[in-house]
Amino acid sequence: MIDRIFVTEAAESYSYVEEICDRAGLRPEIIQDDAAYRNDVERFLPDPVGQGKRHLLLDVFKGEFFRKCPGTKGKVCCNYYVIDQTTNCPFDCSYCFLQSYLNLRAIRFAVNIEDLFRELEIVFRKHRFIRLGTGELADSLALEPLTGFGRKLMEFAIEFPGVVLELKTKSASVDKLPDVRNKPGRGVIGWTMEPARVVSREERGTATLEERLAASSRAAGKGYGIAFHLDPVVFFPGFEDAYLDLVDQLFSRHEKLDWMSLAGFRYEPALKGFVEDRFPESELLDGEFLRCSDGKFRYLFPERIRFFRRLVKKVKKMSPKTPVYFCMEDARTWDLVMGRNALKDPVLTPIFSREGDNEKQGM
Amino acid sequence: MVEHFQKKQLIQDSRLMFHQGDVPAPLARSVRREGVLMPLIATGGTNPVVLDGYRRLSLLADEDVVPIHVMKDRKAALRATVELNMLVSPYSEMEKAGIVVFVREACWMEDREILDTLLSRLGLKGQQVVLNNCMAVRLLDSKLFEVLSVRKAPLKFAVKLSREPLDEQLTLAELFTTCKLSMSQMVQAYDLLIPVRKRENAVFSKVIEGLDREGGDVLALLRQKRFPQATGIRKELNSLLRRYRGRLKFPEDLEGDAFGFSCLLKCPEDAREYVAMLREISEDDALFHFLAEHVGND
Repeated sequence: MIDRIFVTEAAESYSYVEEICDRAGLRPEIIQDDAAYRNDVERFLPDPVGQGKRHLLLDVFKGEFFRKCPGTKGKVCCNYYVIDQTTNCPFDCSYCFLQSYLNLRAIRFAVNIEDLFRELEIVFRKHRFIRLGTGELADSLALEPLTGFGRKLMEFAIEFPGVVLELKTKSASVDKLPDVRNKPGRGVIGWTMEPARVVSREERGTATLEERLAASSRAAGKGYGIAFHLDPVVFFPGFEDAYLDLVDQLFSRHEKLDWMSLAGFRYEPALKGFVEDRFPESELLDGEFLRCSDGKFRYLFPERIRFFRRLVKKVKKMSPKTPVYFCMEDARTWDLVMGRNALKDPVLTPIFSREGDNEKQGM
Repeated sequence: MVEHFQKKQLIQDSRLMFHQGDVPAPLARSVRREGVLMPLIATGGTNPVVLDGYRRLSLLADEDVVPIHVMKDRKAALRATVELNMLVSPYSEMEKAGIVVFVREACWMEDREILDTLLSRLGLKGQQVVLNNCMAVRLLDSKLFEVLSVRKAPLKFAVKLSREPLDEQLTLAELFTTCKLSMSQMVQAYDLLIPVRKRENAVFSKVIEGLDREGGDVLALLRQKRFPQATGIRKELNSLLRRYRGRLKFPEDLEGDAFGFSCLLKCPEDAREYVAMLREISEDDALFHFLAEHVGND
């Protein structure tokens, strides 16, 4: 998965570097900084996106690790916070926005995790309830066998009451994670779930659907909440039945999920070229798309509504207490699919409640 | 050092004629009126090989004398040629690719040197990917290459087309030429053709044959083929909206569950007209069927 490990001069003295290199069985290549990687390595790669995914750049991050998920213009926000400790991912998914988003092609991994924990401790002590994760710019557990970072972060965060930490992944690397039963915080493992056809065609290097399902059962056994993200929902011939079957498979393993998110495949114009160049066999761009108000392309609204209604109906029937929400869809979609006032449904309180909501209600 | 040579003493190498197309009229006028004012760039000895100035040279007679800046080092001469042209008459991306192809194939520079010294002078990123893209242009069919050169196609588009089999390239060249498509229309047409070809498991020529070319412009026809559902919805929508003379609207991106009505009252009589129109709209079953069918809005 990782061919080369680069270590910046700033990161060289961190013991975590040695730990990672030992696990990977690779000798670190010392470079001055990320600019040196760009100039001396990346620009000579014939496939920078693909090859960069096999390069791990261990660095020290001096900025803030923690931020609010920016969501997207005009769409309903799910009040999620993200930790940007790793950027980029060894998995190679055709639909991944990181292809057109990142300006450094290696996987950048910040080894100064003590700084991260210090920053998080301040945040956790301030908030009584916070839902956060590491899966925005990276897969939370893809590098777990090398870095063990998911375990370290979970062990730290789970001790804070009111913290809900989600590790979002397409891997099956859950076995080294700590047991979180009877802990003050809540650990959640979230999997992106796709029908087997999408996994095999669009998600290179990831765990199979079966492996993810099996891993979810093992994680549940350790006390983790389980979340599934049907994101992106990809339209292909027979997709409706494939996703409805998938829902059957998910709920045959878990009676209730901590949450489930849904989102149709959407893309920024810049992503299209990457999909066409790097994934000639992909079915991703075969559907009918229209450019929406936020500049992204989405499947036709009527088609999305029609299918989401079927999907949500099925989920609600199989697991009425599972909170289902849309990622990056607007209020009209919510209204049309979930019904008016869906956002006030108490089932969704754990997802959408914000710090201070209780005080407002009491006033 | 600037020396003077008769045109016939100079060696002209067609591979070094980097600028494609006709001589720009102002340049031709100037050369005819004033002769060659700025020295050409060449490399070599008694009979120097011209690098810069082919367009001006083409306007001269064999006996005409021209000032030449002769540089012994051919790489330095090439760099000077590129720098000068990027200032006064920048190369198109296709022409830039042509320069890179020549330099590499004629072994004037190693890859590393191209990345470090040539690409940046050409205004390109000094990356292997860019070098590979330039080299891919060689795979273009000559007819398509010509069409793309004339239209000053972006390198990325040319590279995409270079990956097509030769017979598909020929079909595209023919389509682009016969339909007289502009650069952006060529990009659109190709974008539309790709998924249709895949869906129909056909080749471009079959897809194009299947279009009713009598019935409209090729892009509109391709759009209908590429987006059958959206086309159907839009047709229905247009027929619904037409009756209300631009007062009734539905979101362009179809992201909505309601029609919007807007009007401007210029005189009191307008109010009566629009009230009547609103009444008509409120009783228009077709509008309600549209919403119920497409967005499930009851």
